Amino acid sequence: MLEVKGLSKDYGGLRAVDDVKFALQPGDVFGFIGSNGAGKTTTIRMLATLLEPTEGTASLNGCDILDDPMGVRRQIGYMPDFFGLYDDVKVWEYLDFFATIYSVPGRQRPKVIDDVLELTNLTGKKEAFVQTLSRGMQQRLCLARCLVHDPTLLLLDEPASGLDPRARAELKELIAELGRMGKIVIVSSHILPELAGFCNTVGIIERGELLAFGPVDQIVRQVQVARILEARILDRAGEAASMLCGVPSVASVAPIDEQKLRIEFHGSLDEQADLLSRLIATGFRVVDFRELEANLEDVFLKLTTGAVN
Amino acid sequence: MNRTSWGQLFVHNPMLVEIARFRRKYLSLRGTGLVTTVFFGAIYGLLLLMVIRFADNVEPAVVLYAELGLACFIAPAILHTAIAGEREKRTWDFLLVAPVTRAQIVVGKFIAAVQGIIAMAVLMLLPLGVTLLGQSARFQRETWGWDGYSRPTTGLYDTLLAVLLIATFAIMLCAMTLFFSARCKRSLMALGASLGAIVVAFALFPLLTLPLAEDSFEWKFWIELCNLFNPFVAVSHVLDRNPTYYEGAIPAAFYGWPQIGFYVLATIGFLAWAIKTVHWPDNEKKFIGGKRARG
Repeated sequence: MLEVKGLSKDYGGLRAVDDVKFALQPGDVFGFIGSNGAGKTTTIRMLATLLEPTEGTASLNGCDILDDPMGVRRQIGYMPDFFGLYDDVKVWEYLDFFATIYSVPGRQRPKVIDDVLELTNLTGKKEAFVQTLSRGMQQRLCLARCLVHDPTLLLLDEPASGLDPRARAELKELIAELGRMGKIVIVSSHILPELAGFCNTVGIIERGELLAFGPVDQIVRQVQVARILEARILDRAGEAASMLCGVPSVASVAPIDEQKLRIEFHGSLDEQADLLSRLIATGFRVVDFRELEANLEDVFLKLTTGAVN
Repeated sequence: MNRTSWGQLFVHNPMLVEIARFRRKYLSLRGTGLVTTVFFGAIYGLLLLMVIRFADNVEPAVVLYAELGLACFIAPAILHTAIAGEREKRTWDFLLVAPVTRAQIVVGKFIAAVQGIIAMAVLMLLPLGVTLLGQSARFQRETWGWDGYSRPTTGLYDTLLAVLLIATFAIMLCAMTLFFSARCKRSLMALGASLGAIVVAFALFPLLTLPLAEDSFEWKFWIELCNLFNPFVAVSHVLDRNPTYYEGAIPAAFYGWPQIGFYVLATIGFLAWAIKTVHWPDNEKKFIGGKRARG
């Protein structure tokens, strides 16, 4: 279990991370969302024991990042946003080097290397030189390096940046699989659709403050005060809009085009059904009437102001 | 240093995997390792050919000075990227988040390079042996008028002492280069600083000061003292155990073991300094070991 207890980081007079608190369980895939400069990387680097927190601490399965950094390091796999690979080494040599550093026993190393290569779909590249790999493959190799010692926590800082759509989809699938394997995965990104698909928990950070934390659905529900309905009416959409404005549970109506209306609605589901019945009963030819589900992007835009440190 | 920390650094140090990486780099003839290996191989081959062809006329000192000169280039060449290069390639963070201490990282990289220096010293024994045999053959011919081998004129003990002196000096250069690599952000800066320090301390300074010693009797002692730890000067004194040239000069006995001891101490000093003053990337303060429990 990962417990982050009031982590803060100051750079001179600037507070880059301010009292960040959250807890994650094995199997959680946590999407860490924030604009550039919001404090995601600083938080991740503190959890990776690369940066000393100004205040607060964090513990992973009982190992504190300040009191027992070596214990934490044995349990984490860290993939920075920008990273390099050694030149002139083969893929298996690269993994063997890090497996040795992480004290993986010599007899187990070949199997461990084969396993992580298979998991990251790089088995065919075992004998290739790392500099000949594509960007996507290098990203997967870096992830394979993070996995050689079977960590319980994976810290992935912008893992999909610079990847083409196919490589991005493969990486998403791989991260989801790691979550299913019972690992805690923290993935930071500012590309929200990238995270929405496979994260079961998200945190939104701005100017170092964690504005929201929890399961995706819960956060969406918390943030969404009114439901958004979209109706498509074949003709007299304007008249329908005037009529809807008179309904008490309708906050506002905005035409999207000649036929479509966007309705901000505060009522219950029963009232929503009554609204549709009323439109039809009044003679409007409704061909589509549906609730638009708020997504992470809406939540993010609603919670954040775009300000950076 | 207690037994536990000795074991952590030299026996159970996971960073000793650098030894295998080093061998792979220089023996598999790939990339940058290829340049160093070919450079050293070419010079070694030429030297060996020369001493075999002109065995009777080549003094052991020639081989020893060649070894000394090579050490001045090889140590910076193999170690300037050790830490600065990791930062440049952005692979440094991977080592920092691994369960190894700063000292283990530095010592692992140092030991890997030292094996290269030892290999060089062992390889140089072959041309050195040829020159010693050639020297003894020449001694026989000139003295008795017949070919054969006898004791070389340069004593074997002094020759081996010079070999040891050069090896410890080369190891000190490795520690010094590692220190510069830890201090500098760019590997080229580390290379420049290492070569610059070597050139200034061991070539430029003696070239400028030693001629003064010839002219000025009063300054002679002080200039010799300043160059006491210059390996080129020390090797020349070790190989040529003449009595003092002038009254008050540094006795010949002060060349050999004192320099070796100094180089060993300097090696320990540079390594300790490198461990203590490693510069972390991008103005971030690194805390291996943590503020409460330092590793």
